[in-house]
Order: sequence, then structure tokens, then C-alpha cells
Amino acid sequence: MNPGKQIIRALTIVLSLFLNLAQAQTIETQFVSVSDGLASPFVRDVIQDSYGLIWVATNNGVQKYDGLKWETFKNIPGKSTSIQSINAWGLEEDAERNIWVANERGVSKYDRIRNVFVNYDFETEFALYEGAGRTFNVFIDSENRVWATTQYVDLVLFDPESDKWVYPKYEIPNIKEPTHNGMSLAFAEDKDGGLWFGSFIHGLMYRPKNGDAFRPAVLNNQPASFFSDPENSITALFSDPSGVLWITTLQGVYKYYLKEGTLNTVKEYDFGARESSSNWNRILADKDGNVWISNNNHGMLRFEGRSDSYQEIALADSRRLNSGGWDIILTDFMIDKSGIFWFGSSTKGLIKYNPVNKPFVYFSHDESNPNSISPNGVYGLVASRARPGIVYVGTRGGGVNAFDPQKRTFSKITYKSFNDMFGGSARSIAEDEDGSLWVGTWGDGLIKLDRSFREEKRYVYDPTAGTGISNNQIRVIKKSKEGKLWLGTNNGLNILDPKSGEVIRIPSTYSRPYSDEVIELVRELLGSDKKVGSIEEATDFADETAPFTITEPGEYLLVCVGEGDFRSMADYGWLENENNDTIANFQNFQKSFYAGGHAKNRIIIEPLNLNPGAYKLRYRADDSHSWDKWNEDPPTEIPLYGIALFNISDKRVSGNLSGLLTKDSDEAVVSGSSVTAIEHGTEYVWIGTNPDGLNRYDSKTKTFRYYLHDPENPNSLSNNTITGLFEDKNGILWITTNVGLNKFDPKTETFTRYTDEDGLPTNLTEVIVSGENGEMWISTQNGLSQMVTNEALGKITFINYNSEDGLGGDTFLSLAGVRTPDGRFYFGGDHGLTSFGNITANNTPPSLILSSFLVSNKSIYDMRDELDLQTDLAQLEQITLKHDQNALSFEFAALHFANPKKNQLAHMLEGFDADWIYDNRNFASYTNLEPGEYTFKIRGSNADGIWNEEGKSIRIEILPPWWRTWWAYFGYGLVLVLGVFSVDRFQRKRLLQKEREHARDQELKHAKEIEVAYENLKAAQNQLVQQEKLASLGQLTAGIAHEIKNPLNFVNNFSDLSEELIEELEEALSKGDTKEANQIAADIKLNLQKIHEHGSRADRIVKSMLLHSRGSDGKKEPTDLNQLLREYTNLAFHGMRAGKNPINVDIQFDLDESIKPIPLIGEDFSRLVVNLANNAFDAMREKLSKTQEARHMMQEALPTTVGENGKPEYLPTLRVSTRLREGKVEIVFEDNGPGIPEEIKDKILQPFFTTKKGTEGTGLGLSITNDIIKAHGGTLDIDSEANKYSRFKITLR
Amino acid sequence: MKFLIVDDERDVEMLFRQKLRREIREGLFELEFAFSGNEALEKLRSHNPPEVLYIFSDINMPGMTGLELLEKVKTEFPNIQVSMISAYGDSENHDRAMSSGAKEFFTKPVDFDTIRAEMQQIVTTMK
Repeated sequence: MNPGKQIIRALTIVLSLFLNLAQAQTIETQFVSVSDGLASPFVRDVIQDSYGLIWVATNNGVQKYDGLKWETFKNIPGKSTSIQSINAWGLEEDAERNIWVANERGVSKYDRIRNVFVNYDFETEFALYEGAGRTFNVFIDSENRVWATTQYVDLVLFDPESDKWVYPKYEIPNIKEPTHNGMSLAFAEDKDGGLWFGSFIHGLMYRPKNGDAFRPAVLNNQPASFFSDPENSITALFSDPSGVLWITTLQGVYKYYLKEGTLNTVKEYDFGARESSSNWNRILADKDGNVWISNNNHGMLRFEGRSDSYQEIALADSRRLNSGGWDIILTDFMIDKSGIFWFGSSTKGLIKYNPVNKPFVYFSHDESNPNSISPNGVYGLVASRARPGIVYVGTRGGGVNAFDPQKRTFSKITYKSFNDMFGGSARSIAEDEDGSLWVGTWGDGLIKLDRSFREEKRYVYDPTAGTGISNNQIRVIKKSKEGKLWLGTNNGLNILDPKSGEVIRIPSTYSRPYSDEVIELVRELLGSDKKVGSIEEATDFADETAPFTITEPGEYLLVCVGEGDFRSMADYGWLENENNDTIANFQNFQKSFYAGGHAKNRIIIEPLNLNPGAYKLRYRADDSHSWDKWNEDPPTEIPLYGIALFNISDKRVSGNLSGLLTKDSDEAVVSGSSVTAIEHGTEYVWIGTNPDGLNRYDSKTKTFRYYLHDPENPNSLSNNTITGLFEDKNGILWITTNVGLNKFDPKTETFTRYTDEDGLPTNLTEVIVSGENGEMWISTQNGLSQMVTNEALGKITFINYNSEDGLGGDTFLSLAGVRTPDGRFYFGGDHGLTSFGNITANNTPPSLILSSFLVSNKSIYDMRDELDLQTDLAQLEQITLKHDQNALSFEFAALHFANPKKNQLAHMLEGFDADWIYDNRNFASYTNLEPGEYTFKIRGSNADGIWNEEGKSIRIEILPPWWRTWWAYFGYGLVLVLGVFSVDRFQRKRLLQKEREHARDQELKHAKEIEVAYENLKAAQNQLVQQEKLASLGQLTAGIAHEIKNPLNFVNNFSDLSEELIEELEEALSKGDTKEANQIAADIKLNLQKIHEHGSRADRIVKSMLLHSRGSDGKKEPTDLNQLLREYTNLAFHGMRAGKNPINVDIQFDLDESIKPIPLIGEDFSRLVVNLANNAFDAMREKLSKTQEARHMMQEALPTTVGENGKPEYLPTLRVSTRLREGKVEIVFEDNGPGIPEEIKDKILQPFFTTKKGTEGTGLGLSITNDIIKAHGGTLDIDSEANKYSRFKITLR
Repeated sequence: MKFLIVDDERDVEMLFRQKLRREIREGLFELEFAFSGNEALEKLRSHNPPEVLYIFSDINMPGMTGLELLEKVKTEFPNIQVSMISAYGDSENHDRAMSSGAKEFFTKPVDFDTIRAEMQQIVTTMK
């Protein structure tokens, strides 16, 4: 080149460099690295096959990736069907979907159907030196010919007929036998079928379609050796749709025009040209036709279509080196079906670039930036209308922040704080038309700020006044169409008229009292003679009746005071007539009014007309809150707790009263006092409360209608704690609650619920905001969720975003969500403020693949011959199995790589499952399938909720076993018929025989009958003795059962837990999150240890019991007497506690530890202990109930004799003691029961004597006890004092 | 929101922490455990005001029973709510507990869904 041209060239380069550098664009990328499962950080090639799977060639094997799982192919020494080298360089898929791998030793073909590698070792094929078989790339042209570019043999071609590789013909002018010993990298086919490759020796070579040989391309404007210059070898080729050939070399980028034979220079580098790694280049066009070039360590070039103008693209995480290049060296790249770019690199593994981005922006407090948002999270949120664009943000402690989206600053608006929980918070904000603000605080009431944000007025709760706002914690402010401010506070709903400053307090059912006049009237009546009958001062467990008669017909007033709440009334009264019909009932909380004191004190006043006759006032109370035994503040309105009837036939009284009562009852009330949300709809005002459900207020009729959660009715609100309300433009009301999202249609009054089972990230939903195109965004305590309606599938799904997607935090707050008029969304949470514009979705649905199919745990690949499989699993459409091959498991995937973790999956086995299962699991298994025909279907969506609606399916037929086939059934039928015949004949013969025998037997029978009767009598006697034994055994069992209950509960609980954890483990494993999986595994291990512990505990208990129950052959064994006494007394105690009428008994042991083991018959002696203990309990129980009765009667007469703190005065006590006295062992059972009366003292040891009524006792207990003691050579002494104690003393030698 | 659970069986702590691990991880509940009535009172007294706002207690414990603990808590810390958990579902225990001011009464084996719902409701009321 002449100097002049050189200068011009240099200038052009510098200029273009300058221009381009100034415009270098950065793209955000994601890394897929070794920790995600990639085999090596050195990725040499990446392709996507026709199923949608990603294949990667690395220096540590070839891998197949479905977005979640990796399958790795390596060389296994000794296994000839494994790939011949671990060092792979290039990949390509042919028309039969086999994968060809260019590797260190040549080329290997992966036969997918047979799941084996066919290896072509180039060292042998071409008689090369060891190590000279390195092949860089494989190419397959439009006629399915397979080409490979290599390091030592230039370009080679595969001949399928001979199954060998050959040299293609070269024809080079002036060279007789052109050499094939050289290196080549690049290959391309143009739109006319012409083939091109770049030989390092021969330069750019071309063979037209149907041509016979490769010839060097004609370069009219460049020297012929342009590309044979080692400094300028061709590294990549690309033929664009217009037929222009793009070429990259070690030195630059060129375009070749075949017709003209001219080469244009697009770009030339002047740095780093001579590094060997500069060979890495790739040229491709994206979906929009723009050409991209991956440029080794020079980053990427993106061209404007096919023009010459380009932009440098840098990867966000790469750095520019001094040499001018970037630190990330790109080796290859491809663009997958959904438009995602995949780059291989030499040190950073795989790099993914998704051109569709998600712009979440968030603002959190930054100490160093005074214009950042206030700390502690965001409370209220309002988009300003007076100052469009500005968003007012309520904070916890920082007052109100005004956010300017242009400058991205938060200016602070503060006001004085006195009682606020955070020292200056804004829980809710509303804006007037003139730009002034209303701020609802959390403790300082309501503050009005003027346009310049100076405090104008403050509304605070005054407990002494009966007017003004009812509480200082203002959670929500919503302006009505008439300009009034509706305030939702922590204690009631208020309506403020900003002009007059007047506040209307809307009472809730809890809080509305009767008017003072009515109460005054009733008080008067209580003290007057107009009281006809009453039950006053009702106590715990009251079940009272007060009968009365009236002689004159007229108007009466019924007053009832009780206890209750929305769920039910606990204490209430009613009125019955002489036929026991209820004519007035006060069990309806909704009709009740507030009776003063605690909110659960209720009063109802009702007038009625009665005719003469006998009536009964009835009252029932439960425990815990009643006259003089209040567990909360008692009612204050009137001194009555019960029900009373007054005669108000006096016209003066009745007329006045009914008018007042009507007024009180007509008042509109809200269901609850803690108001959490208000929405002014087109027809109604909606009010949400916590935890009292939803209210609908009709301003025309001034009435409320309530909607509450009903656990029995699925068409009701899902939960009574409402966090947000939103009425959309179709009049549908959306309700966020603590148990998911509800969609309510006010016209049909139907509720549709959406919970985490439908895909929400959690049931704790906070706010719902809608976009312009009907999309709905929901903020929750676990991130944001976008609700997507798929009309084709008739399904609503949720796409969830959390802090991993750049939200800034996951815990969002109620009432903090708005959309500004320009379409931006703002949501507030503990972290601060998150904002975003429209989210563009990646619209390519995923392709679906069945990746594994196991039949009775054997992979289908291992059963090829058995099942006669002809195709690869991914193409399998039908399969027939035998009846015992009926345990099937499937693994499948939705192939879309934008965010594979968020891909959704659903599956269904038609013929077994009733409907699609949307559980997002990538596996499913079925066992014990009945013979029949089934179809297994799968469906999937990408991370943006775009579903592959077609789905994928495979038909499975399970043949019936031979004994269930039709001809088997026929055979059964036959057998049955024959059987019936032969049985019939046999029966006839037998019948004749029987008649003869029968006559003979009759005579013998008579004689026997007499004998039998005698035996029966003896047996009955034995039975009774057995029953007694069983009874005591039964009690023992009850005791044992109780002891074992505790450890068994633990076994169950920990087992349940471990089951849950195993599910979580499977999830973690399928996500590849080994760290999490290990943690969960450790937890499971601990649980299993606990199960073992408690199981052993239960086992020990049973063992020791069994030990004692053995030896019932009458043999005496040395036994630890004290331990036996302790154990069996306790067992008897627990048995009693677990049975009917348990009582509290103080058991005292006074045992002489010096007593050595005594020979005892274990089973019998323990029965004795249980017997004596139970007798003591039974006796003391009688005494206890007698004492209680007496106390009750005394109470009525003299209220002051009740014991302190209501403690019982009689404490049953059983004392078991042992003593060693003069070589004899004494055992004493002493109780403080009613004692044994003189007259029966010597009868109690007689068999069948009992003091218990009816079938309570067999009367054999003490008699058997006495027998046992005699069998041990001991004596029994009984001693007692009436009403004081009973003592049973056993003396043993 | 701190909850205190009192039970003489130590394994109860493991059970609770695992059954409520999700909520604990999300920071909704904080759990503390005491293995006797005395230990429970010590924990309550160690902060002023006490950090714990709600207590679940077993009834059957050696030493101070759950009911005795309930009475002491109601006297000393009237703002703290106490619910009982017991293996004995008999009416006498239930009534004694309710009349002493217990909020709720749960029987063993514990239904964790009910417990969880109760705890969530308490947390929401405090917001």
C-alpha cells in the first residue's frame, strides 16, 4: 500500500474508532457458571437443538441443558460408545436430530435414539500423528452433507456410504496437487447453495452448488493472497439473505460480493491482532435482521441491519484492558428461539443476554444522600393531581416525602409530633384540588397542610368530648364525591366535613349504645314495681328459669344483658310460654347493643305484646364472665346481668320508648371498629375491617350490608382481615386479605378466591392496582405479583417477582400502591419505594420436552429391546406396556431460558387425573395403574406467563394380565357353571344322609342337655371372676395409654414435619440449590433422631408393663415393692384422670427405701395396688361431689361463705406408705374420703358385696385383693373413721 | 412480634421452630422458649417493657403449673395475653383457665394450623 493510502486508512480507522467508542453500549448479562452446573468455565460452542434444549461444548465434556438440569457426556475409558474425547470444540445438529461434536480427536456423532456415540478418530482416518486430530467445527449443509474444519487437515467431508471421512476436491490455479495439510475454521453456505470455507493456506475457497471442487474466490480489488497471509486468516464466515458474504479475520471485518468479486473493508483492528486466541469469532443475524459479530476479546459489534454502520456492545461485567481489549474473551455465540443471546467464553462459562429487560427501580434510604427517601419503609402513597408527576410518600418517622421522578429526589415535609408511634409518620394521605394535603398519622390524628405544606389545622381525639374523631390512628383517608373525608381509624369509621369541621362517628355493632333516654327509662323500670319477672346476677354455668304469670294482656318490655361477639353469644336469655315454645330469643349478636365496659357486654331491649298466661324467663351462661366473676370490664349501663320483663302498658312509657328504640335500631353501623380500607365505588361505598370482614354502604338508603367469612360456605369472603379494596371499571370489587385475593361481583354476590395454591407467592396480600390495559398488580408480603388471564386455557395465573428480580425488598405494606397518570406503578414496603413502567414480556412460548420416562424405576432407554422402541423419547408418541409395568414416572421441562426458574409447568394423566395439575413440578409419578388407555400430557409457560397452549402428550396403553382378559373371563364363566352343577348334585346326596343321622341324634341330645345346664352354671361363675380381672386390666391399659400418648404425639408430629421437609428438599434439589438441600437434610436427620428417642421411650414404657404382667403362673419373684407401688398407683391415677369424672387427687408416697426385694406374684400384686387405689378414688369422688353440693346450697343462703379464690375446701388425698417393722413389711393405703360405715366394715370383703349403685362395680375387688394377700401369706387390716379417713394395712412376712 | 412458649418437654421447641419455619424466616414471628414457669417469668422480667406480647403455656408441668403461671402473668403483666395448651381436654382445666383470664385453650396434639392462624391474627391487629 502506498503511504498516501495508508494515511487515509489510518485516519478512517481513527475516526471510526472515535465515533464508535463514543457510542459503546453496555448490555446487562447473566452468568451461567460452574456453580450452576456447567462443566467448565471454558465454553467453546453453544447451540440449541430442534427440541429447544441447549448443548454446550467445553474442555470438560459436552452438556445438555433444559434450564434446570444438566446431562454431561464425557469420555469413559473402556466404553467405546462414550464420546472419544472430553475436549470438545464445536457442535451441530443434523436432520435426524443427532448431535455431531467436533473434538480433540476428530468428530463424534451422538445417536439420540440409541443413546450412544459413534466416534470417528481422525488420527486413524487420515493417518495423522498423535494429537493431530483436533477438529474445530462441524457444519451441515442444506443437502445434509456433514463437513468439518480441522487443525491439520483443512476441510474434510463425511461419506455416509462408506462411513468414512474424505478430502473434498480442491482446484487451485497453478498448483497440481493442492495440499490439504493446513488449518481451517470457518464454513458457510449461501442462499444459492454455494459453499464457502476459509483455509489458512489457500484463503477464501468457494464451490458453487453442484460444483465438483473448491476454488479460491476471485478477489478483484485485493491481492489473491489476501486471506492466505497468516496475519489475516479467516476466522468466521456468514452469508446474509442478500447473498453478501461477511468475513472476519485476525485483522478485521470484510464483506465479499460474489458477483462483482469485490471485497469491502468494514472495520480493521489495530490492536491485539496476533494473539492465538484471536481466532474466536462468530457472525450471526438476529430476529430483526441485524448482524452481530462476537469479536473475541474485542467485545461485540452490532450492525444496523446489513449496513456497514455498527455499534460496539460491551458486556456489563467486563473491563477494558490497557491493550484495548476486554477482559472477557468470547468464543462463540448463538441466538435461541426466544431471542435470548448465549455467549461462550474462555473463562466465564456461559453468558446469557435477554434483550427484553425488566426495569424495576427502587429507592431506599441512603445515609449519605439527604435527598433519599426517609428510612423505615413506606406507609401511605398518593399520586398528586395538583402537581402531576409528584408522588407523596408517607413514611414512618419522616413525615411525608414528595418524590420527584424527574430529579429522583425526595423532599421532606414534616410537622410536629406528640403522640405518634414513630415520631412523625404519615399512614395515609389525601390531596385536595388546590394541592393542600390531609395527612393521617399514627397517633397524632389528622393534620391539614396548606399548599406550601404548613400545618393549617389538626384534628385530635378527645376522650372527654363525645364529638370529633374517634381515634388518633388514621389508617385510611378517602374523599367521597361530595367532598367529605371518610376516615378509617383503629377505632371506628368517621366522616369529616372539611368545610364545617364537623365529624360524624359511624358506630360499629360493637360500639353502638342505646341512647341515654332509653337507658334511663330501663333503670327506672328496674327499681319499680313494673317488674314482672327476672333472672338477675346470672353466674357461671347458669341455667336458670324464672316462671311468672300475667293476668292482663298488654305491652311488655323485655331486657336482656349478656356476653358475646360476632361468632356467637355466650351468655343469653329467652322467653318461653307455657308450652315451652320460645317466643323471644336473644341469641343474635347483630341485634345487640353495647352495654358498657368491655366490648363483649351486650344488651338488647325489645317491646312485645303478651296475653295472660304462664311464662318462663330462661337464661343460660357459660363460664368465665358473669355476675361478680367478670374476666374483663363489667357492663356499666344497667345493674342487670340476666333477663327481665317489665309491664309498660302505661301509655306514657310505652309510646316514648318505642319511638326511641326505633331510632336506635335504625342507625347504620359498621361491622367492626378497626377500619382498614375504604373504596368509593360507583354505586356503593365499600369498607373493609380487621377482623370483621366487608361492609357495603348504600348512601341512598343509609344502610349497611355485611359480608363475612363463612368456613362452611366456599362462596364467601376468604378471610375477615381485609387489607385493601379496589373497584374496577366493570364494577367488580377486588379484595386483598390475609388469605389471598377475592374477586367479588356485587350483582351476583359471588366470591372467587385466589390463594397461594393458585400461584400467588403468599396468602398475605396487601394492595391491588390495575394498569391501563386491564393488567392487575398485587403487592404481598412476599414480593409483587402480576395477575395474568389466559383466555385460551380459561385460567388465571400469577407471575411473581421478588427481590431477586430487582424489587429492592419483599415485604410490601397495605394501602401503599398507586399508579400515576403517566402509567408508572409505585409500591411501598419495608425497604422503601419500588417503581416500574410497563413490563414487556418475552412473547415466545417455551417448547416442551419429555426428558425421562421410567417404568417401574427402569429407564425406558434400558428397555429398548424389550419394548421395541424405534424412536428417541422426545419423539415418542405411543407405547404399550404389560400389566405389571404399571408404575410410571415422568420428567419433563418447559424450555425457555429467560428465567428458567420462573417457568410454570402443568401435567395430567388422562384416564387417571381428573384435571390438569398446575403444581410447577417437573416430574410426576403414578403407581399401581389399572390396565387401560392413558394419555400423559404436559403444558408449560415461560417466566412472563406466556403458555405453550398446544402442550405435548404421549399415549400409554397398559395391557391387562392374562387373568383379566376377555377370554379369561369367559373361562371363569364356564368354570362357574360347571361348579354350580356339581355342587348341586353333591348337596342332594348329603341331604338324604343327614335325615337319617338326625333321628339318632335327638335321643342323645336329651341326655346331654341336663349335663350342659350344669356346666353353664359353673362357667358363669368363672366369667364374673374374669370380668373383675379384665376391669382392672382395663384401667391399667387406660393408664398405660395415657403415658404413651405423649411420646407418640411427638413421633407423629416429627414424622409429619419430616414429610413436609422432604417435599421442600425435592424442590430445592430440582432447583439445584444444594446448600438449601443440605440444610433441610440436616433438619430431617435431627427429626428422625427425635422420633427414635420418643419411640424408644414408648417402647420402654410398654416393656416395663409387660415385665410386670408376666409370671402369672403363680410363681413368686423377688420384686422391688416400692417401685411397684409407685408405678401402679400412678397408673391407676392416670387411668382415672383419663376416664369419666376425673378428680384431682394429691398422691403422697412415704416409702421406706431400706426394704429389699420381696418375693411377690407380680401380676396379682399389681392388680391389688390398682384395686385399692381405685377404691380410694371412687370413695373420694363421692365425698367431693357431696361437698360441692353442700357448698352450692350454702352459697345461695349466705353468699359470703365461698372460699377464697374459689378454691375447693376439700382436697382428696391418698397416702401410700411402706415400713419395715419387726421383720415384717407393712403397706398402708390411706385416703381422706368418706370413710367406711361401721355396719358394713365386715361385709366389704365378701364377694359380690358393693356399695356402688347399679352396674358400677362387680363387688369382687376387695374379695380378690384379700385372696391375693392370703396367697402371699399376709394379713389385711381395715381401719376407718367416718368422713375422715379409710386405711387399708397389708402385713407381709 | 415475639411469642413465648412454655413447656417442660424440650422437644416442643424443635417442633415449633420447624412447623413455623416459613414465618420465622420471613420475620413475621420471633419465638422464645422457657421450660418452666419460673424460667418464663424470668424471661419476661428481663426487659422493661417485656418484649414478649403473647404466651402459649402447657398446663401440666412440674413445679409451677401452667395455671399458676397464668395467674402470675395476669397480675404482673396485664398487657400480655396467655393461651393454654394441654393434654387434658377436660372441662375443669378448661374452665379454670378461662376464668383466670386465658385467651384461648388448645388441646394436644396441637393443630399447628390453628396456632398459626391465631398468631397471624395477633400480628395483624398490632399493625
